Amino acid sequence: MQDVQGILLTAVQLIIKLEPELIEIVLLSLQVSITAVVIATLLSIPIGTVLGAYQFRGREFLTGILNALMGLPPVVVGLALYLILSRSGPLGDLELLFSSTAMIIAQCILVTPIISSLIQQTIADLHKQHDLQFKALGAPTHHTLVPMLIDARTSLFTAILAGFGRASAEVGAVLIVGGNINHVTRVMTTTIALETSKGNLELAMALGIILLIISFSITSLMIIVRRSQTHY
Amino acid sequence: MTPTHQALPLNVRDVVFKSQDSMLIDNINLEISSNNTTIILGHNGSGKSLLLKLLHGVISPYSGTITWNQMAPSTQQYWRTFLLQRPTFFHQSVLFNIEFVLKVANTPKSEYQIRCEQALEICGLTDLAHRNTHSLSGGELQKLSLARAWVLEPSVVLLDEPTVALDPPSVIGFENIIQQFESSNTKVIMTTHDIAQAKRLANEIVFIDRGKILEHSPADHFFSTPKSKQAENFLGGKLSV
Repeated sequence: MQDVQGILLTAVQLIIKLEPELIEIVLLSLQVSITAVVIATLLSIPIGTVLGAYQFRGREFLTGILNALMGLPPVVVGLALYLILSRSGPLGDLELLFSSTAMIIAQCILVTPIISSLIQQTIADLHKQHDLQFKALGAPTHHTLVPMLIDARTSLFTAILAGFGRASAEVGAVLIVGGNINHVTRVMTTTIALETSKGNLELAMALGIILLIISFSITSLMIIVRRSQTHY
Repeated sequence: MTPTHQALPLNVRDVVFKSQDSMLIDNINLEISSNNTTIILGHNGSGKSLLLKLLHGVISPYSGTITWNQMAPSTQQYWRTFLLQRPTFFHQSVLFNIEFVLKVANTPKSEYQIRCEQALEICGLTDLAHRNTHSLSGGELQKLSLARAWVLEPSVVLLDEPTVALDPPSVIGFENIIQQFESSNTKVIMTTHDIAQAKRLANEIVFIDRGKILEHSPADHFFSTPKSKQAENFLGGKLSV
């Protein structure tokens, strides 16, 4: 086994040289995760807003389910999606298995509950804070939604970043439905798992460093956004 | 501003409001028909704010009836506005917050500009129109709360201890705007426990103690010869438990 220092040095060289294989994997990973997060956000804003702002029968139950879905085991999602998308499954005719679309769907399923729950909590808190004022102004809930979402933009952005962090770090589900096919569905996390098992630690390490940089960038962005809200 | 809705008389009949086993409003009867300023006076916890909320309709009585010109109150009657003790605002511009009220009240868009300009001017907020509310002082926020009321051209404005957290100059500015409401034929009903303020603003006083109305009389009469022992103690600054 090579020494850690040597592996690290080669990994950094791979990144600096912008190795085409590495770039391809990183770009596909970003494409899959960003698409999944955009779709999840479009679904989560109405779900989170309705559950956060409106009082209706079954709201607590639905919120509970949403919160429970935040802890969905990725491999179970991957397995369920595999069964649905496989040739004999109900959506087999779409031939989506082992495609980047299948990986997007898997990440979307995993990320939507996270973003929805965070939006739900933010909007519920805001609505509680303004509840008496809205009644005093005679403002029906539907009039208050857009202004509340604008007020909550920082929290929404944080929720989206948290979703992106979760999506980009996902391995179990995308491995099952993507199949980790070279030049087709190979993303950073699945490549790290594969290359490590093969003993090609340099590429795995290079991708690991990039994944860490993405993760730190997201965290830093979240801190900057939070600070920008508190420092007027 | 010229209010067009005939809101008075206000009739409160046998109104009771309970919370669990506590009687917070105890069989209140009240009739208000004059279009001048009514101050609801009483200690903290006497039921002033609760009575105001019942009059507006943000809460409903346990029993009894409240009518404004024979009409039951509901929150979506925009001829009547309610200023909270601690108003909240969207963290957007002053103008946005005023326009939001017009939008809620389905005011024609063609009237937005003139109404907003007038409300901003009356409340001394013209220079702050584009400032975000999170950068305003407590006094400026209360003025914005008044501007949000003014813009609706209400027949009745209900104010729940609006100056409780303001310094004296801000209180004076606020009271001047309240007097502008009265000059524009808007009925003002305001709660306070500040006797000096009540003396400055009131034409009539409703004195409330432990959820019961003990006195409803012209202000001069109330301050010179209070009928109840509780009111006498209150005006004399005596503590009663």
